Amino acid sequence: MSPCCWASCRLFFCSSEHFLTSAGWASICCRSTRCWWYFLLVGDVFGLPQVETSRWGGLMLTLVISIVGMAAAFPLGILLALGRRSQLPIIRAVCVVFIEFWRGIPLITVLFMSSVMLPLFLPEGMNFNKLLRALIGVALFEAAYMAEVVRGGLQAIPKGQYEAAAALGLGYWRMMGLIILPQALKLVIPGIVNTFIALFKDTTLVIIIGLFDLLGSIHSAATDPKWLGYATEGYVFAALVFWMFCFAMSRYSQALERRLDTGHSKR
Amino acid sequence: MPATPTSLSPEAVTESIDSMLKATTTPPSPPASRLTVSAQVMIQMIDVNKWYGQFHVLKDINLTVRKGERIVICGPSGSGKSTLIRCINRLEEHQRGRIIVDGTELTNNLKHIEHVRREIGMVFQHFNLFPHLKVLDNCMLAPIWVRKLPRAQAEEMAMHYLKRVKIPEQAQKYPGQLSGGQQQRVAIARSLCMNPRIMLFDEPTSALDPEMIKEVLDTMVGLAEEGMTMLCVTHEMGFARTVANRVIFMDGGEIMEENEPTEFFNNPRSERTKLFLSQILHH
Ligand SMILES: Nc1ncnc2c1ncn2[C@@H]1O[C@H](COP(=O)(O)OP(=O)(O)O)[C@@H](O)[C@H]1O
Ligand SMILES: [Mg+2]
Repeated sequence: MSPCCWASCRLFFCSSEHFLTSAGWASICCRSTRCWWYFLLVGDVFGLPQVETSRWGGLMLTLVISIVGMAAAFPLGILLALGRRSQLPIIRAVCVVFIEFWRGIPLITVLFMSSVMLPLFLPEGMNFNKLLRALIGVALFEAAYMAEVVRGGLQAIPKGQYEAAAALGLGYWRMMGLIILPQALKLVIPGIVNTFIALFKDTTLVIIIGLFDLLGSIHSAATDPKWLGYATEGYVFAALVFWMFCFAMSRYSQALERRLDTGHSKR
Repeated sequence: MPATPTSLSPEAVTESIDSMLKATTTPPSPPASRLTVSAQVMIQMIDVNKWYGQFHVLKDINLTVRKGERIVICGPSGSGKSTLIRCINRLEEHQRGRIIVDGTELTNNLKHIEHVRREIGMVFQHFNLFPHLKVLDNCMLAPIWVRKLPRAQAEEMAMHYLKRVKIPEQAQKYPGQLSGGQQQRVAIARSLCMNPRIMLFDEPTSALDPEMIKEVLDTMVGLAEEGMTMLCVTHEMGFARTVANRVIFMDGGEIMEENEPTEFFNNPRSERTKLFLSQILHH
């Protein structure tokens, strides 16, 4: 088990009583097996018809893209941040190039490339799922932002913490996973949530590759003659839903900060 | 040739802990002065040189520390005391010469470095406790993740050492909720939980208020009385007089003088030592 990912999971999912036990892992596994909604979405079980991902839409699509995006971008961002501070020049160079590349291009370009350009380079007949391509694009794009947020946290950890961990005989991954990352991530919770909120709202851009998220559905409904004249209500409703989710994330992050507060920064 | 580090088997660790726990119930050990120093060499530094860029911090350091020896290192600020003891557990890298700790030479071999660090406890000026973990978890972390002790045993050992430094009641608090003296005692307990064979102290009382210095020094004296091999950078001359076998005076990256405490304080050989002693003893 990688202590690094363990620590980050611990920070975001487990209560502190789970620390240093395998119970923390068990609870994470438990949570991730609650994927019943996946079967509801995809269908093809219990006599439900199979639903192609290209026909997914609405709020569920928004949630799928943002949750998968966050879940993938977070650990990847941590690895990139660690890589950018690595002593090994090759790893550092790779991470810097990756981060600077993905941070430098607009998300629309990423989505457009993934859905229009990428198939041109792939061999004939090899054509993987549009949603999956968009998900990978979003995840890589957000990972670059996440990496810089996490790096900010890493830089705020005093040298003494590294030295104390090293002096106890902890190796690199244990030092990072048990000592440095838990503190660094806690420091940058506001920045992480900021990135998550931005990601959540950015998912609306998938409309340009023909995926209909919440806003996209409303947009297309507004052009439907049967719903003529209700566009304002639709957009206001979408705004409300987005605001609710973002506000919930913001409140959650505040609660998390309070819960993880151990009193050392307040003196 | 560097000896291959022998990783301790869990049984061996368990045994050593058991014997240690028993040892505390046996009659108190004799006072420090009567303890004999064994012939076994724990640390050997041969012609060690270190540079920070162009700056020559350590110049031809030769030092041999035997098992059970208690060495106090003093000298003016910037003379390289911290650098010297940090080289011993490779928090700093030396560029020339050899450092051999308990049979293992410090080279770029990460395995050897981690092996040596497991056997050396270090106490820092600014405690460097892990602020996100409770006192108990601070102490249990390394035994669990480095020594691979079962949780229950690590907890037992942590509580044992927290009792030794006289703060078992603080086990469930976070470091940020303790006073400086208490934090430094936790830091000592945290190091002891790894059953180190050598303890390094880098000005452990310099960041403390005067009324807290005594509690930390008492803990260190207790440790010395049990025969721990210790290297202390400190300006607590009372501690040096009563506890040290040898006092080392450093200046400008060199060991200027090395003597037993009474001789060192009563008949300092070099002018530089006399000046330094007069500065710290008369204020
Ligand atoms: N990381 C570093 N880079 C450059 N110079 C350093 C570094 N650490 C210490 N020094 C210099 O090395 C000298 C010795 O430092 P140090 O061992 O901390 O002294 P002491 O502990 O005796 O006060 C000082 O002059 C200090 O400025
Ligand atoms: Mg110093």
